[in-house]
Amino acid sequence: MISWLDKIIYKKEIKDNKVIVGEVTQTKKSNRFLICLFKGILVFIATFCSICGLLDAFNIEYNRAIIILAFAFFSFYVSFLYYNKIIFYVFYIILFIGFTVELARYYMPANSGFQAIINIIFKDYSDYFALASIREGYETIANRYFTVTVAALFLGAFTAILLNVTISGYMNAFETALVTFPYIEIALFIHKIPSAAYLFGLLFVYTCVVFLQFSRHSRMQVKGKRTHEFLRMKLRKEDRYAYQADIPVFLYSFAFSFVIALVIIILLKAPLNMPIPKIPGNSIHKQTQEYVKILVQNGVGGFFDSYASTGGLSGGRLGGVAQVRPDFETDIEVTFVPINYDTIYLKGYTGTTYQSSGWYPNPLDVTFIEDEREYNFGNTAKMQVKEVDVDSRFDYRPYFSSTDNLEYISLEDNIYQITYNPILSEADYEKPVEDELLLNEDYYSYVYESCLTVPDTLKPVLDDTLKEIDPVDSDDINQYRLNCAKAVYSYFFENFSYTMAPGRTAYKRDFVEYFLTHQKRGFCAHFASATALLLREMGVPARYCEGYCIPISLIYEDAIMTDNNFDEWYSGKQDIDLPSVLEVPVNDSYAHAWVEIYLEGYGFVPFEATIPSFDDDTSDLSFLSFNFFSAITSNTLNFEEFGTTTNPNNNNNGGFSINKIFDIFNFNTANVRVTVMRIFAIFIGAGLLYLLIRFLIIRIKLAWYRKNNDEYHLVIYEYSKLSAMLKRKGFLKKDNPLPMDVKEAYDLYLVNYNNRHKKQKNVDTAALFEHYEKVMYS
Amino acid sequence: MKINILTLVAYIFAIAVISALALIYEQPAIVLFILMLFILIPISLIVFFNVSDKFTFTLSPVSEYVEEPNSPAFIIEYKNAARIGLFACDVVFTAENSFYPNTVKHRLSIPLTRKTNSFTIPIDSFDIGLVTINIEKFVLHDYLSIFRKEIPVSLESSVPILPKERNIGDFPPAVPKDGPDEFTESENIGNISSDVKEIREYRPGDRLQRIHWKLSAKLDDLFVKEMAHTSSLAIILVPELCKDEIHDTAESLLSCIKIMYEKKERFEVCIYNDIACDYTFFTVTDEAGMLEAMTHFYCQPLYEGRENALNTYIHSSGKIATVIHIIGKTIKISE
Repeated sequence: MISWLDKIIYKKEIKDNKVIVGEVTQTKKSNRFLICLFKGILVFIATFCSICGLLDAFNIEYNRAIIILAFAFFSFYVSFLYYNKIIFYVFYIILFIGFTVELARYYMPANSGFQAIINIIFKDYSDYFALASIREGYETIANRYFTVTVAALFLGAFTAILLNVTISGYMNAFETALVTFPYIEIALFIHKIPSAAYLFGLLFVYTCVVFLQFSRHSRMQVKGKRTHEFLRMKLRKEDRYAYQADIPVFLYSFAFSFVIALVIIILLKAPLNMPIPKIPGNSIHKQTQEYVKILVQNGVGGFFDSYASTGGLSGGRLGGVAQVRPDFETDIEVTFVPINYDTIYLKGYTGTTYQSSGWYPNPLDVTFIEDEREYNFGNTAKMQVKEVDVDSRFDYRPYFSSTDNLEYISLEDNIYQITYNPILSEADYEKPVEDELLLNEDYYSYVYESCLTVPDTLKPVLDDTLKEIDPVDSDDINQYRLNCAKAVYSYFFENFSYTMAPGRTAYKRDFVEYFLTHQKRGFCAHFASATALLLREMGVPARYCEGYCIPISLIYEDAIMTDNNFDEWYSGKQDIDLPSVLEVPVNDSYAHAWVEIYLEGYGFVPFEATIPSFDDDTSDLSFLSFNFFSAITSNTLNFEEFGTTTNPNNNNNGGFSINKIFDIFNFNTANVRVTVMRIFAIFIGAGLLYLLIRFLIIRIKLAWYRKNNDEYHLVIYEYSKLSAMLKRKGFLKKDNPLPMDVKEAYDLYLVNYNNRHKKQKNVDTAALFEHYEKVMYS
Repeated sequence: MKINILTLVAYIFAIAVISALALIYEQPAIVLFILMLFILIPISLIVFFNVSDKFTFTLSPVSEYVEEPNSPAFIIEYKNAARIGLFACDVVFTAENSFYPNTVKHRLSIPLTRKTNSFTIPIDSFDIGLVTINIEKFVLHDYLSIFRKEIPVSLESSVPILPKERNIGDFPPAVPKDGPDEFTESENIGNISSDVKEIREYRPGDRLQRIHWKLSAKLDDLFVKEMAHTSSLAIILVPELCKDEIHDTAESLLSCIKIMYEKKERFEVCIYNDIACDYTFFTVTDEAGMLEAMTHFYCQPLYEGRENALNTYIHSSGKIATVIHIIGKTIKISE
């Protein structure tokens, strides 16, 4: 009899057709106990190989005997939940209650063990990525052997419950891999290969589950199904029924999977151990590594931004974003005449007062005084800035210019022009003169008090850091200040690394303190902030700036030539052979932060504090160089070491290049590619070998038949060959043709052939097929 | 052999995704899993090629008939001549009640992993009628369900569902004394004559008892004895296949037949076909005859009218007998 549920589902069929298909049963029934047992074996192997594979890969010690016994118990317990409905509901509840109670009882060792596992794994990750530090969990119990075993037990129980759903419930290979593979992947990601036995076990389970999934006769439903052995579905125009779990299906799958997994493991033992370089060869891998580094260093909290980070200026805010994510949309359009290969800086924001959450303007704004400062480098330039998608609170001015030189062309479109005095690389500059602005008390106080202020809480950290920084002494105050900047830069260059994804600053930690002591990785805001504070601590007046930079590479790639009269836009010497007024779209990936150092006679001059990145990341700012100093130092202060003018041939830039699309295929690890190619070659070779062997076997068989005058087999061969040919050419369309059908098709083929070819085929088909039939039915 | 494109695409997609991951993350260990997925296809295909043509299927009913409210069941049996089995086979069939035709296809998935096994398919029926199951094809799948082979067949099996017997009182009713002249004048009332009137070729619907076995054996064809008494029957049951009252009619007919043959009455059942405007006679003397008559009754088309069978019979038949007209629960002697 059908259930009330089916009566509702099939209401229309019952009313219209008066028949529905009932529950199908088979004579040789499968033993439900054995099916649960087989599934338990799969769950056990998957649980054991994934968790113990992980622990063994990281050489974490634990009580293996207890783990094996416990995992076996969990696996068979959960798989036998599907034995029948009563067991399912009763023991599932018992399982969850037991799990919760035991977890509460053993919370301390379990938590401690879990932290121990995480700490050990993070330590290895930290070593692999050469990270300065890791986010270390607190272990309340020191006995790792005990705590790791307890933690592994709970992890195993949890995994077994999940696997029971994916294997016993749904028999889904993808879900099974999703539950188990991450454990192994944790080790594989940093190329720690678990023992082959674990990989063999996992391969066996995956192969088995693939077979069982596609077999469609492996599931045993309990929940929500009225029967254990039969499944019915309503699909569009068809009603579908499936007889469920079948013991021989399991036996076949186990046997096949065992052999396949064994063969694969034996074949691929060597490639598994091949050396792989640590530096990823493609951007996706690199990006993933950045995320992993954030996780290892900052924990999960490091991923969550406290404010949007879509590139552009942050307005002095610090530490709230895990990663800079530019949208590469144009922020400003700048029209100007390039005069040399140096990067052009457009300052938008100046931060003087540092707090843990960011840089803020000085309470008493005296920066307008700086507008009075005059520069004379023997040239005058004009620049037009059109603000497309930027923070309109700020004006973006090139060095050196004043707000008085800024004139709005269109207020609606936010277009303004600035007259400025750019620095030439090889110009003869006058010696610096005394800064008259310092006569203003407020400005003096601003430079020598505000721009030297460091929060008291940060002083110990800065002092500790400065112990490792040793600037070259000099009698010249400007020389000394630049020596300090150089020393700070060198320190960062040697001990820190550049990344767009350093992770968010940890909760209640100071941005610079966290960067200097913990992260040791960061982007421009990190380096600029730390450099500014370190310089202040060394007695060098410094402040933090944000704005946009325009490297020469961007000009070469994206600049558009305008019709503007060159003479109206620039007068003076030009170090670059480009006598045109250009318009350059600048996107948010060119937003940048740098430091301004106060130099006597020059005022605040920009200093590039961010170290270069050694990755060819599309959005890093490693192309920046000390262009201002290249100009100033080469002529007046003679700091040649800083003069690393940007090379126009260096294509590291943020623009689009078709080559970048193919970056992901640009592997440093040729071995992987070779291995994959080898596997493909083996498969193609195996296919060809199979065809060759098959061909040879047929030939040998035919020779044997001919030798023994075995007319029956010869006729069978010829007949099937002829049928196959006719079927292939479309003359024979029946699935199970009789000899008369084949004859008819062959006649048709011959007529067709003779019509199309000069050379005629004359075959007595009647006689031929008479002979065939006679021999075949003899 | 056909390919399940969707499965193949999904499978290739899975391989592509895993390959991409292996390449992007530069992990040779993942190659293991790619290789596993690759190896499965040829293995599955080789087994499928060697095994798929080694199966034979049969279909048979569990019982010759069932009584309401029981439902009929059919047995599909397979035999595997190969050493290895296949995991999945779809049996595509239709199941219908002759009074409620439908074309809904059913697809039953069964494992073919043993040497031989049989599956019982019960057809839950909610009305009387002839329940027929017709297997159109068997679709064999390889281990990964990427390749399939369709074996078209035409296996059909039917089981009539008989209504419950009803108490219809005193039956057969007493023949009225002023009944038809032909009836009273008949010489062989209530007796079965053994005289053979003629011998003709077997036609579907003829009873087995009538087959002239000796002659059939000699001439290698079936021949039927036409008895002399057929033109002078005692009682003829004429049921109407009226759409609205088919269940009651069948119930009444079955009750009449059972009482009649249990009392060893001599009678025939006249089953009318409204489309052909023709009728077939069944002489029922036992349960087999009853089953034969009822099966034939179930196979006829239903109609709206209430006296189509009776009118056609009276106007065209030359038989001299008492005609009992059955429609719904009404059983009456027709004048």
